Amino acid sequence: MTADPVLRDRFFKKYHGAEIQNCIQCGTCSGSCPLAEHMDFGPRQLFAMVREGDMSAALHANTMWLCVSCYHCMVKCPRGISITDHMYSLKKMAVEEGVKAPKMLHLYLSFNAPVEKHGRLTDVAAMAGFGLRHPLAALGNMGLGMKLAAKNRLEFKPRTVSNIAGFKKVMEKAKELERLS
Amino acid sequence: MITFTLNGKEVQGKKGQYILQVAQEHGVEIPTLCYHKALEPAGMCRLCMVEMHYGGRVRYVTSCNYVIRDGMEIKTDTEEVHHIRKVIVEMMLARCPEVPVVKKLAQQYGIKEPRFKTEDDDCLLCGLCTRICEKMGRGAISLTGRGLEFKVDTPFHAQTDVCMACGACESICPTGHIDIRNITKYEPRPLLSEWDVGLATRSAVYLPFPQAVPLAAVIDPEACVHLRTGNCGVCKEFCEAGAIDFNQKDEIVEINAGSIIVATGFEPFDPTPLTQYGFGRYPEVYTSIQFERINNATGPTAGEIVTKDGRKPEAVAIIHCVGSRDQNHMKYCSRICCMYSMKFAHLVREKTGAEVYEFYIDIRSPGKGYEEFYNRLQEEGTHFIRGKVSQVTDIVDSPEDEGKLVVVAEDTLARTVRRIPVDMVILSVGLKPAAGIEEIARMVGISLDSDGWINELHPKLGPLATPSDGIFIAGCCQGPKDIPDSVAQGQGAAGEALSLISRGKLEIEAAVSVIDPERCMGCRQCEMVCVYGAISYNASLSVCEVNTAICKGCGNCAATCPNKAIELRHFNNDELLAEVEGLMFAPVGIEEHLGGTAM
Amino acid sequence: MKYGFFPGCSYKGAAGYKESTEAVCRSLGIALMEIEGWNCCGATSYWSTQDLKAYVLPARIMALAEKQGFTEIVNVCNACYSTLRKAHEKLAGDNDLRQKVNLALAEEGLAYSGNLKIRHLMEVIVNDLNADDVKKNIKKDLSGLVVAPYYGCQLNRPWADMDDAYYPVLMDRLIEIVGAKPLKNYSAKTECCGAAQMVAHKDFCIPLTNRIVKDAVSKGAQTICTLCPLCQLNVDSSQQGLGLPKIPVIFFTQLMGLALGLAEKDLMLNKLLTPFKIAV
Ligand code: SF4
Ligand code: SF4
Ligand code: SF4
Ligand code: SF4
Ligand code: FES
Repeated sequence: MTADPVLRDRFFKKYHGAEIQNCIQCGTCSGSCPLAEHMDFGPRQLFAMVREGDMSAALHANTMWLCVSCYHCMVKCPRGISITDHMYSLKKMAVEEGVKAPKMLHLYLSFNAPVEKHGRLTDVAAMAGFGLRHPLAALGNMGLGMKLAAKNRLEFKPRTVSNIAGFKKVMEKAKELERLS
Repeated sequence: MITFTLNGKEVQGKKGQYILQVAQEHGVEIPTLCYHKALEPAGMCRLCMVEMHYGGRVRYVTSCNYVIRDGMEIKTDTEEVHHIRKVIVEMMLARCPEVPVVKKLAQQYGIKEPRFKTEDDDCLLCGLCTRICEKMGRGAISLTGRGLEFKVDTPFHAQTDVCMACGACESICPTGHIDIRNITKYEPRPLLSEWDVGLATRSAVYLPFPQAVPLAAVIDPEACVHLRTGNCGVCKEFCEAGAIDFNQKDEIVEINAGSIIVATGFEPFDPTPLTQYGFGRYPEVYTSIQFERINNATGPTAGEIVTKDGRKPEAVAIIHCVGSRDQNHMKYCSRICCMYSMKFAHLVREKTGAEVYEFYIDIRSPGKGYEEFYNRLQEEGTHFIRGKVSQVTDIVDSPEDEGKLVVVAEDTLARTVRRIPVDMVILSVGLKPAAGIEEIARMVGISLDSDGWINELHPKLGPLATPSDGIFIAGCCQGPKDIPDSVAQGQGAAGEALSLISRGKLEIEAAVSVIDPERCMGCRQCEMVCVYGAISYNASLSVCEVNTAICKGCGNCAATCPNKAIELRHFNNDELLAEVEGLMFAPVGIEEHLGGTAM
Repeated sequence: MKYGFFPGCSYKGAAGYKESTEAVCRSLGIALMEIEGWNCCGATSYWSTQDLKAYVLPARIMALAEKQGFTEIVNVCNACYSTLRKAHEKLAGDNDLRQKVNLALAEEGLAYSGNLKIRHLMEVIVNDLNADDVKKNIKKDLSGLVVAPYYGCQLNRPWADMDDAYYPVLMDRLIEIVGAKPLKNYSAKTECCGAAQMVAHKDFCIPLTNRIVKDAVSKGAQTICTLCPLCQLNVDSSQQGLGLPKIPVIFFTQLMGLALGLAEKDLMLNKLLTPFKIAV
């Protein structure tokens, strides 16, 4: 293990991650996590690595990308650690550090793109974006897509926020403010 | 007095007594079924049949409701009597072939199969239920109908609000026919035994627990039908010692004491809010205290470790730190749970041979012989899994989970999530300060820490004492502790109290506060600031007074009094001001005089 | 009763959720007034990729609601509810963040004060309506219908203030109010359905929906009742390969509609993937 105190401090300060130092390694989080068995490390172990500065291994882990945001761990952590929020932070840090993007990131980005453009999302728009990157995973959902289409449940036309110009200005400003900080 | 012959012997009875009563007084056994000494006999079952010779005639009568007469001759044990009873039992067996009391009687009378056509009923029509309900002042149920339709029922065959759900009928019924949920409109509320932590029921008059001091029964006024409605009162008729007194009330007893030892103990954490452990939802999830009862020879299972449906468990999970070390509940370590959990593991293994899984965060065994006990448990093959359990569920993932409770936890040392099917789950619940501790603390003038335990005078040097002289603490009221520590502290506190008493005198502070009654206007602010509780208000004089045996001379009150009515002996305001003045206007060179290091 | 209504992106495409919600609210006198100009809340996707925008999206919705004079926002999706709730809590506790968010919102002449309450329609119906009033409108006897209340994971987390986070009972109560039988010991009521992971990692998520379906079917439920479009879609659509008896997965508003005797065009049960074939 090579310790990377700089990256760790960024996690501690910018991302309010210092509270993971309070973790007593009880394992409640990993035990509650629906997808723990597919994770490289459960949340507990990930935190043990992060607080000792093993950032490279932590940021390359699939753990946070498999987090489903169920908040199960967070409501039960005996030390009151905002585990799910730290999963979000570690995803953002992995992207910042240029870790090879996993499938879930592509899904998120295909979700965000139509939102940025129209302010609202349709399943079709998100899936189309994702399908370009991951045809296999998308194919697995093709059957479902057909069924939904047959039931007239898919919307092919993008949905746009009524005051889209204002929406875009707000998002633009947010981007700018974020760059500043 | 009435004199008659009973099985050839001359006996006497009071006027109006029934044959059965006199026979019982003389130790003559007559079988009965519908007789109950709290109730008027009804002669329904006819099992108590005896042979009577009177006035030159022989008759067979039901002894439970036949009044004795001078000169009668009663035989309880003749061939003919036996024959009649046997036929009666045979008829009962035909009516209720599955009812245990009847089956037992049939066995006694050597009946295998009744000669009559069998029915499938479980009501003997003994009328005990209807008579006891009458006694409860209700009459919610009665024997109604004719012939074959004769049965126990409520008016209009519907649930009724006449029934108060007292449960007397259900408990008196010899066959188990009565289920008051079919009778009452109210929610039946079984009386759960506090001592057996809800695992068994108790009656409205009961012994709190076998070692109770004083060893006397108490009446639960919320449940007692007599105290609620004025009816029933059967316990009073029964109690031969005449000890039942319905007029008794709680009493407040005032005792003058020179010293007080506070030993209010703890109460177990209630795990209901930890819904992920399913306590109260899954019958086989127990608290540690409940398990103590199950394991106890006088407990609801007579010490046999079995599930509620009577199975011997094959696997048992023990979950540590339930409520403890958890900032959502109690942030401290309860200190005793690791060790008692291991005791449980040992007992379960010894008594049932089951696999035992201990789920722990850290094993804390800091005591003489404790680590060795842990090692012994390891040698016994207990599974120690380091991980706090995340949930107990009956969700079936694999066939082995069927009919089991699945305990889910990360095995943090093997770094894998495990789902272990077990038959029984024991929650090692933590310790909380006993309810009411705030009130006691206020009463004796001592303080509590942020978790609600009593603050000792000093954690190392004054563990038994409190800031108030003569008030000592012992046991868990100060914080979680095990039995040896509690005993040690108890003995220590007793010793401290005794040493005060044996001295016979009290050394008090010289510098105590005095209140000038002329200046005191009775605002009582001093009373509130005194941490030792040394000040009390004298209502007749409308002034506050200092108890010099308690006062420590801290001066809080003197500083608080708006009227400057309080002075601290030897440190009164004039004296203090003079000293300050002396320092401020001291002549040059005074530093040397005061031993200071002049430049 | 009037509420600001935030439908969220997946409401319209969800099997009959929109139709049944509108019909039920109409017959119970609940006025859901759509927040004009609402945008996507961002949900997990934005929490995972953006710092400030993740707050700006929900804050814009809330600011719009404030501007349009609403004091309560009603959600019909667990993810929306949880996202708005989370932004609301965090913004209340972080002045710096609130300032930045307001700077961005000012571009459109909006301002966020936080003076409103975030709610979920199911909880609104149970808590704000008088149960007896609802019961008076019941037209169909559902007493034979055993319903598994599936809450999903995000409804009550991480702020377990509406109900218990692990074993909630609010929807159980709702099911009782409309005269059906809630499955009493439904242990999977807050197990996770896999959410968006179902798209990328279907093989990991199928065992999760398997638990939800199996626990309901094996304990005797005839239908699963949900209150989130994504939960409904995942549990309904993944039943194909489970090898378990099929069980329809309906929205709580559809269940209510059945009890209120609403017409099929108001319930749109035909849009479900697993058909609802129970005669009620
Ligand atoms: S539940 Fe909390 S204390 Fe326990 S291992 Fe996870 S983060 Fe650490
Ligand atoms: S919130 Fe994420 S890390 Fe926590 S239990 Fe759920 S999936 Fe696992
Ligand atoms: S439970 Fe009801 S029916 Fe039975 S004795 Fe009491 S009042 Fe009478
Ligand atoms: S129900 Fe029980 S107590 Fe009542 S008549 Fe029948 S057997 Fe006797
Ligand atoms: S006991 Fe006398 S008739 Fe039943």
